[in-house]
Amino acid sequence: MNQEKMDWERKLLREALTPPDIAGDLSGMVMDRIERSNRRRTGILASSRRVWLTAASLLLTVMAGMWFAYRHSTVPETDPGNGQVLVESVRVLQNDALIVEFAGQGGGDTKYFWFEAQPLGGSDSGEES
Amino acid sequence: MVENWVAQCRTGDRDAFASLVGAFQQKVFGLCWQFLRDRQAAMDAAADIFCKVYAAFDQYDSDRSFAAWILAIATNHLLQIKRTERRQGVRLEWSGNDVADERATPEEELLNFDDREKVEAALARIPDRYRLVLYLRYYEDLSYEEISGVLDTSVSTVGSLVLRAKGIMRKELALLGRTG
Repeated sequence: MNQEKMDWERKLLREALTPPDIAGDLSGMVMDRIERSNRRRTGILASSRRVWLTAASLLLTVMAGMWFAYRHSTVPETDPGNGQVLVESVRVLQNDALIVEFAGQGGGDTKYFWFEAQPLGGSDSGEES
Repeated sequence: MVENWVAQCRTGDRDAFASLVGAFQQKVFGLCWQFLRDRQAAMDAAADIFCKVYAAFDQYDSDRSFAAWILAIATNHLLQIKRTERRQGVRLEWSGNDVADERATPEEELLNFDDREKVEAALARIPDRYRLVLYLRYYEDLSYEEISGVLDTSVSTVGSLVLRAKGIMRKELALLGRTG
């Protein structure tokens, strides 16, 4: 008796648990979603590549700008025609040192040259500091 | 047949995947229905589940039943939906009382009902996890071992869950009997 009732209950439970029929094909919807997700992933990859390229070119531009600014603020201006350095002033000190001021951007550049004492003729080579 | 489709899916064959979807859509939709009780929401969830399956083919162990694997993915997805709905960050525990004995006595087996409408009403009132266990056991006809694979829990826990689910059903049916 119990077994019969159990079987009957199982049958009823199974019927009550039976979901409605899906009545359609999910595969189209699923494939659409997979396609969309793939496109989105490809788009994200492409845009992240674009971001990296933009950042790299910006960095290069900034570095080039810094290099350019450094060169033009520390190196004396040269005459574009013949490459000679424009000298602002030259002073000879007691200790045989020459103070040479070059004309240039940002107040110019000062260089010191020491020459050994050469009473006859002298030498044109010296140390730069 | 299914094994062939799975093997083809692993090589990126979309037609084989569409065939797999066709073969398992009712099973997955049925599970979604038990959780969501709304046709459109269940269809939507089932489509999402198949997308997850498509992305997870590399993780499928061919020694395992494909149906159990797909139901495990579906269950996790549905629990995630429920967690999001409840805004709880914790994992839903499958712990029952951990009753070791999964064989119920004849009295415990009986739910004492004879009206399908009342059963449906009672099923709608019990917590999702118990409805899920009853569905896997009595609709999908899965063994306790198979259910433990789907829920990623021990066989004894499945046994206690089934027992508790039936206990709750019995109470609900008694309540409905008094009110109905």
